[in-house]
Amino acid sequence: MSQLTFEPVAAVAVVLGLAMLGVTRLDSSFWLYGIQTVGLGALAVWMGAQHGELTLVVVGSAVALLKGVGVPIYLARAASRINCRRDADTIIAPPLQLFLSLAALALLILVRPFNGSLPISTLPAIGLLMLGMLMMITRRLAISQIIGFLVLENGIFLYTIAQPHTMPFVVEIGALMDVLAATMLAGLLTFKISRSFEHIDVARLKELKG
Amino acid sequence: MSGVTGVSMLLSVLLYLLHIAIAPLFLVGLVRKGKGLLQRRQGPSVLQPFHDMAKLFRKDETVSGTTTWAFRWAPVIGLSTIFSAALMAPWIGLRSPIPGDFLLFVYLLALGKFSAGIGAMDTGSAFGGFATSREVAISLQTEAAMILAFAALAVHAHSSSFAAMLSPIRPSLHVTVLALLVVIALALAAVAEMSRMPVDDPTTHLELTMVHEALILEYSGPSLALMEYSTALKTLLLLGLVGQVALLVAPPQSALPAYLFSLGVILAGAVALVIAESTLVKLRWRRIPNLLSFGVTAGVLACLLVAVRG
Amino acid sequence: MTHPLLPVICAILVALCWLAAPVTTLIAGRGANSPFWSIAVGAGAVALLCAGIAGLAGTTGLWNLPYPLWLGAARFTFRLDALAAYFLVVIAVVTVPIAFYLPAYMEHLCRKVDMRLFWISLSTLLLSMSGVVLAANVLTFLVAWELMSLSSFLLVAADHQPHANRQAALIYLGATRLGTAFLAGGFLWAHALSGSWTFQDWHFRGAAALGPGILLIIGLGVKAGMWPFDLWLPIAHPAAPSPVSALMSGVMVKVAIYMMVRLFLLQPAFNHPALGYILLGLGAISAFWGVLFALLQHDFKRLLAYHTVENVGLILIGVGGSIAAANLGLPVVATLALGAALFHVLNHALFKSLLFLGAGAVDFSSHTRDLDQLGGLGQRMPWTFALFTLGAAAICGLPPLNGFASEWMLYQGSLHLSGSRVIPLLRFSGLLMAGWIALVGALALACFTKAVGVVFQGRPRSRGAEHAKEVPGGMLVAQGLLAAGCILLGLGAPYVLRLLQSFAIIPGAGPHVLSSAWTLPIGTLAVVLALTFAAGGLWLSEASKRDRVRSYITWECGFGDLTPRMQITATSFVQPIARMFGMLFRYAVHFRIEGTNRRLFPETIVVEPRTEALLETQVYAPVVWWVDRAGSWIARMQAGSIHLYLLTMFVTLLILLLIAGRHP
Repeated sequence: MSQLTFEPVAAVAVVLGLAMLGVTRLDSSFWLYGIQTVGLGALAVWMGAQHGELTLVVVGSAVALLKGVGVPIYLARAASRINCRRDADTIIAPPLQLFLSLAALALLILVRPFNGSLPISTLPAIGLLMLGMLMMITRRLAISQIIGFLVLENGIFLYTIAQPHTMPFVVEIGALMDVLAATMLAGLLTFKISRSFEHIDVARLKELKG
Repeated sequence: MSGVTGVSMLLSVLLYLLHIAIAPLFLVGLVRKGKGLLQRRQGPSVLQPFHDMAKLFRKDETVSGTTTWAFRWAPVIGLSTIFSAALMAPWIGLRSPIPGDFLLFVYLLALGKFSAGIGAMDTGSAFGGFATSREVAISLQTEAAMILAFAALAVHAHSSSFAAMLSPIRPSLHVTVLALLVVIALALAAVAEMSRMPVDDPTTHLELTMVHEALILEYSGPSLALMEYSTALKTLLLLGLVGQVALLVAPPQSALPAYLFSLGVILAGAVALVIAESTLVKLRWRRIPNLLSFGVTAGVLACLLVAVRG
Repeated sequence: MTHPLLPVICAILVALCWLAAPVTTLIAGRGANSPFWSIAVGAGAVALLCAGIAGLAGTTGLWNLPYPLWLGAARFTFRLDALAAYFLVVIAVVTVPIAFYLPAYMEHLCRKVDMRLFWISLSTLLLSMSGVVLAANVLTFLVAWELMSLSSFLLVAADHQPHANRQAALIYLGATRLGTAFLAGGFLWAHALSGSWTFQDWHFRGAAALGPGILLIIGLGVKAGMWPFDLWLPIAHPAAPSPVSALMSGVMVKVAIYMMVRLFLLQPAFNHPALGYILLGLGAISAFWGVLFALLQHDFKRLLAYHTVENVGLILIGVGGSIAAANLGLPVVATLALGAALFHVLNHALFKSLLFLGAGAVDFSSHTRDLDQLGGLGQRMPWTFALFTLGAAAICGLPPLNGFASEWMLYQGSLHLSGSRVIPLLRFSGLLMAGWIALVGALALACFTKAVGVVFQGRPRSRGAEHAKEVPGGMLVAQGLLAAGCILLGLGAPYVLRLLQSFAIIPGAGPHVLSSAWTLPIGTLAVVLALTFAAGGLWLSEASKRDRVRSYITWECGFGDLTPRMQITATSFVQPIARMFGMLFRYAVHFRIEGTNRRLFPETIVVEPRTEALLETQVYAPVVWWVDRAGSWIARMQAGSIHLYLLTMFVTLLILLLIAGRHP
């Protein structure tokens, strides 16, 4: 029974991650990220209730609330403060990003490079990690980098709930807090970069090299 | 017994032809009326497209002196291909009179596109040229998306014929997800093929932004009527096909509910068109590939699902 | 079953006809052009067709040429079987229309081209292509293959006045040398392993098949125009006179594919699944690469030549997929793919020759091949326009023409692969291949909409195009025959498949795999289309009879008449697609503004989109540079002293004797 819920939610999370690579409007990215995170949080809560693990329930609801609702709102405000709506000038065109990540996902599913060393239930988590990484590589804007980082972190979260009893409560909450702090810091830094350079294109930070 | 089946066959073919003759224009009228209502105005009569059609058929035609037979024949070839495609694809819950398969269907649409493009280029006007260029550029992704999505269904059904692909299967989570992905892929492709928002604006009068409207810019009188009618038939056909795929999620048990269900799905599609056209703005030309790439992605995901689960 | 001597009689007739032309031209002189030679070529082709039909009907045979004609290590041996016969038919059905085309076409070339050399080369090319198809051992094959390469080189160089043509011929010569080097390497390797020169004695399996197999794939791939060895093809094919381009693109590349089918697939000499995957992958890339670069071309014939790369890619997808599937134990899939490939070989021969003959007709009448100089030819050359459009529809795979039939079979092969019990990766690849073929098809559609639209429609962009006239009847008959073939093969696809399944069956598949896979209601479709076309035609003629159609100018927004320069150009037509795939060939638009006050009063503004194929600039150019360096180093040996040369020869001889003497 647990499998029947886990798989669709994990699959939807991966598809949402894919969609984030395809869109360029920041608003849409925030929305998609919010839905993905709330879904993952809810999955954790549901699995915790099934297995009778309080840890998962608490962490899941915290993730859904703080990361799923709080972070998108915070990022949306940060983006509107620096008047940035769209990450149009990506390094690789969005359709190609989409197809590349699709190819990577297909290889992951069909070839199973980690076969044996990792259980199958962690495949979607690896996929999310990969998507987050791709997003950080192919985007220029600092805000998109933050989203990529957050997607990557969602992958780690999915990995932990795919394998119950892997991490103690303190570590999970600690990781959550770290992510929140990192996001806040990154948001603030973005604001600063934008104030100092009048752009937030991380590719152009090379100019700072002495 | 065979006499009875013969009569029922004949009846169903007649019903089919009746749908091909009337339903497309009716659908266009409905969409226009719906848009009017949503914009707080009366909107034209649902029967207005029929009047327009009659008016156009009464008119004389103006043909540019630079054109050849290609310009004159393009409306005929376009209608003839879309008519053949309509005869070979099941839609509105009716069995198609001629068994066709999805490859033939997609390539018939491509033949229509080819003839329309040749017709538009024939006038020597920049509008026709650019419209054709855009039309073929858009069709790269729509054709790939349609073929991928249909291929996933075909492999699932072990046959490329529409009859097998769209015959009711035992519903399951697997089928639901597959149908959902196929519907997304087909719907995005269909929006582009039907020249609807947000890919193309069917009501625009700014030539530079038009795709389909610029393609038929030089046509007048009865030829224009044929072109308009072909587009309407294509719209109905594609909506009907998307609807048929959507019905795989919950297949109705007998013929009449199947028919009513698919009518309902087509109406839902029309409502979606109305809402989309009233709320969305047309995408910039450079962003259209971004939108259509989601269709291709959905198609590839459907293929992935079929490949893994079979 | 026909009489066993029939093919021999046909062969003698073919040889007589095709040798008659060159022998008599030697007497006739340099500028000679008379229908006699075309008739001889055509008669030979008809005889060849008879031989092919006899072979398809079941006559087989093995012939050795008598004693004085032999090769030292082996004799000239020829073998006729159904597969060879099929390719003989492919050669013949293209050559017959070309015979109709030649007399009028050569009229305008005979001042520039040495006609003696032309007829000799053409006859040699035709004979040697048949020879390659019939060769039963390596030496016969290599002799025929070399004759084919050299005669086609002479044909490419036939009109050697323009510098570009001379360069094209040299590049072509280089490519054929490279190909033959790989072929010879592969054959020598196989001979060293087996000790036999006869193809039929070779049965390599496993690792032993891989090494020679890959060398042979490269050698044959160079001739077929397979990516990444396709560089020369779009340069060399257009440089030849159009009927020869048609022969080279339509038939000569197929000869290489014939050898692939013969060596790797039907009673394979070399059997290894990796060979299949290599061909499949390179075929998939060729298909996409060819059509993408075809889109970017301005030169009418070069555009068509790139489409040859595309179609060879599609055929190789079929061949490679068939080898892979046969090794996976999927005979049905393998047969479907092979059937699709062989069917496409014939179809491509027809429509590509039709298109090249059409391009030749355009060149003939308007004296240019530059797409941006053409336009409006539809009104001036209505028949050529109609026939070319039909060929364009066929190559785009539009129903109910022949291109659709074979592409449909290719789709069926990939769908069947996905539907069979293999690992998910392969099933996914099958589905993806369907999407890939669809993308290639859509690109081809874009390309030919451009070609037809820019060349034949709108208004003429140059004086040449403006004064173009319809070509003479013979050239139209040639195109008409090929166009009729496109329609007939499209509607008669089930019959072709029935023919193919008489010999192209992978062991294990049932005898009726191909014909039972064909489920399309193509006849009904044809009837529906014909009826609606007839109704439409009636309606159109009625409308113009009742004077309800008024002729006027094209809508110009009320600003006065349009000029031809306001039309879309070939370059702007493909700009959206070029931008989409820009990263594959570094698409960039360069602006150049000139004038004393450039900002306010520019005198000329040049906007020029540039594309550079990364493969050419990053891989081939450095290689050519190094070869050039090495060549100039070796050239130091050319000291000019005859005594030094003699010494070099003596030393070489000595070394060779020492090496040879070491063997007992």
